[in-house]
Amino acid sequence: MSGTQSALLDPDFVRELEVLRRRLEIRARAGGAGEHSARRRGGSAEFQEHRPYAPGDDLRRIDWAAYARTGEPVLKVFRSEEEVVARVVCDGSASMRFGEPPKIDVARRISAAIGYLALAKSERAQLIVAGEGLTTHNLPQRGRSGLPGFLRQVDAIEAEGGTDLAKAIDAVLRRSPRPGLLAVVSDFLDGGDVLAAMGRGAMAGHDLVLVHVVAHDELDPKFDGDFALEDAETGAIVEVTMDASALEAYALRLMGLSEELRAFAKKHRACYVRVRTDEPLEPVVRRIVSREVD
Amino acid sequence: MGKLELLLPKGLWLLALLVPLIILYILKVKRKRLVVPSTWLWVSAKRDLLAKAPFRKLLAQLSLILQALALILLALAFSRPSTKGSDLSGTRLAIVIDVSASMGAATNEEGEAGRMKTRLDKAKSSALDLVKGLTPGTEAMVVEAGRDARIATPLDRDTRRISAAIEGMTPQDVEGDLGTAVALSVDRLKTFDAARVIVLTDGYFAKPPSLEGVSVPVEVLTVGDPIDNVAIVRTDVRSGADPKTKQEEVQAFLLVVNYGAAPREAYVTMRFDGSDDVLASRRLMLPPSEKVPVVLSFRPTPGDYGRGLVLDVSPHDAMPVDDVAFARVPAGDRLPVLLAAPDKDKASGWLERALASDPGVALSRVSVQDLAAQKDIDPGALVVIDGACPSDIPGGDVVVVHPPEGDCLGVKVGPASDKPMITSWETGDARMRFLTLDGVAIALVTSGEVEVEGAATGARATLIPGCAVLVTPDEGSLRASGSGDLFVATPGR
Repeated sequence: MSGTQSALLDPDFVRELEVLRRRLEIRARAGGAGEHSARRRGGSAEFQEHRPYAPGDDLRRIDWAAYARTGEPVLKVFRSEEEVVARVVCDGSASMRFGEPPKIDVARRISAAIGYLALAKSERAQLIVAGEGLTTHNLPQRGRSGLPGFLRQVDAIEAEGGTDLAKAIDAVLRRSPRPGLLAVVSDFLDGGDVLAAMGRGAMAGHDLVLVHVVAHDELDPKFDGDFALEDAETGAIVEVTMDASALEAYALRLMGLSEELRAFAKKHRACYVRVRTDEPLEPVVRRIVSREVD
Repeated sequence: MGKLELLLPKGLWLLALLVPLIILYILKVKRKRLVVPSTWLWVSAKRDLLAKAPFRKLLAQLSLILQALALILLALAFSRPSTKGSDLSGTRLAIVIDVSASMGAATNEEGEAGRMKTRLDKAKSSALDLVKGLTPGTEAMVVEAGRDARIATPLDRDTRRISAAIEGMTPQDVEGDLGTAVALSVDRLKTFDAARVIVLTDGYFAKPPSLEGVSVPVEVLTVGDPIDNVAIVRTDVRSGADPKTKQEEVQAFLLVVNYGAAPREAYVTMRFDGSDDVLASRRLMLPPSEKVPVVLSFRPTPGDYGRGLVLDVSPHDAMPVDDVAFARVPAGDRLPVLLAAPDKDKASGWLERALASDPGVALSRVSVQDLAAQKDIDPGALVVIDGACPSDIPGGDVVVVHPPEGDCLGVKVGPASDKPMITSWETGDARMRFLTLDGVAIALVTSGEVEVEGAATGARATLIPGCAVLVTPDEGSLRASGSGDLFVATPGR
């Protein structure tokens, strides 16, 4: 493993990922051969089940032998084994620079982990960097051989500029007619309609994973007095008198954001994981693989 | 010091400047610049806060406090604060001063010549301050509240006259009646629009005045502090016989009250007026707010009857007027009466029988010649002289019966009259208080005695010059057989 790779994925982390890769299941409709069972049942070789014939079914798929034995027309259903793409949309806006360690570092490592899990299962992994729209749209990497390239792309992510996650996600959906895993790694500090965009992704058959990266200072800001808060992305100034009621109102808004994401995940059978920058990542990846909703 | 009032309340409008001052403080905030990942949540949070409170929290800053304080003081200065004493312009004022006995109590404030000021002194001082504060054109009256209300000076604008009336007030040994004084003041002021009654008192009332519901504002200014006072509230001096020794004894009954909040030790003494010799003394322990009866006694000598007694509770306190009581030694249980006639064995029999019939009379007889030589006659004894009129008569009161015609003790005794008519008699004199001469007529006067026909026998009674006439007869019809008229006199006494 190269130096870059070892910076993103240390050996212990890789060992954990090797264990977890077998449990990774992508519930997306996709095409091409691969190790994943897609939700869409198709015509590949692996028999799954019989089901009664219904008007409109393809007559070519009737199991005539079974019909001869039972006298009832039934169809043979095969599990489709298709190659899926794990698309990782990583937030590369300036807000990701904050935190200790910076949120962008955590986002890079989680993106690398998701890419590793996909590539290690001979799937394809594609890294998209989101800023004010689609900043970087890399070509998908395939198999373990594509891992170094993928990690280099991850390592090249810089946190700068503004955010428009909705625009970025919509752009990804336009360029990806075949659904797959769509992981969004971001702090979601975006006033745009991100949930609507992700909803469109879910409707298109993408299997959504939302990774919410939060810095400790954002969860528990230690401010007191009068401040002119400058937005790191837009430069906008907001004057706030930090007192107990102001901090309480902020905490409620942050809690509301998490709650919205959690509700979205439950509604669309997506995974939602909230990651603090100062917590170890192995349990986080485990929760992603387990498709938990925090 | 009176209650603070504002002569120009409009000056308080300056306080309205506090509003822009505070707004400036709300707006003028130096904020620390801080770069944050995103202001998106903060904007939302701020919107939530703004929905709850339109203004941000005003932080207490020293500069804001100082500026607000300066503004408040400026507004107060413009509104011309003053005490009521100096705000009497355009009003008619009645100053009621309590001059009851309790106002003579000393205070803990030293006055002139080292003398402690009394409550009345302080009340007068306050009243004079009020008068000094009167603006030209303001009328004031002064009412003295003693046992009765007295207008010391009617409504007047001359502050010198008003002040003189105040300065001339002295405490009286009476219970004050503030209610009457206030009612009188209200009655005099009720026709005026801007009128006020100010009462200066120590607040100790025998009958607390009702100041509610009066048509004129009444303000009570209390002077003096509560004091521990011990007082003699009742005395009674009687004479009687000691049941054991059967000897005559004078007993003084006193009721002593401790009005203080703490127990007091006191000594009650009795002595003759003008004498330092103590006749009797008792030591008392007086619980607070309790009445303690005391009996002091002594055996009188014949010369003690009628003498003044001083009853004193000591040590004296801040209100000495009720620490001393005065009484008089009453007469003995029997009145000594000396019947004098030219011949002591030939005195009027009816007169002797009449006097002897009174069990309260100790009758003794003496000749007129021996009367002047009698040395041990009680000064309170009654001397009855029958048929003579000596010039030197000892004893107390004198009754001359059947005086000889001519001068008698400065009275010219005229000839006797027959059947004199009584035209009037003195009813106000103590000696005639229970006597009526209605229906009394003189029927017959014989030598040496007066025969009574009907209810009683009347005669002309004439007093010596300087004394009151008790009975005035019709001289024209007055007759006397033998030696003349009856008169009662107290020669030279």
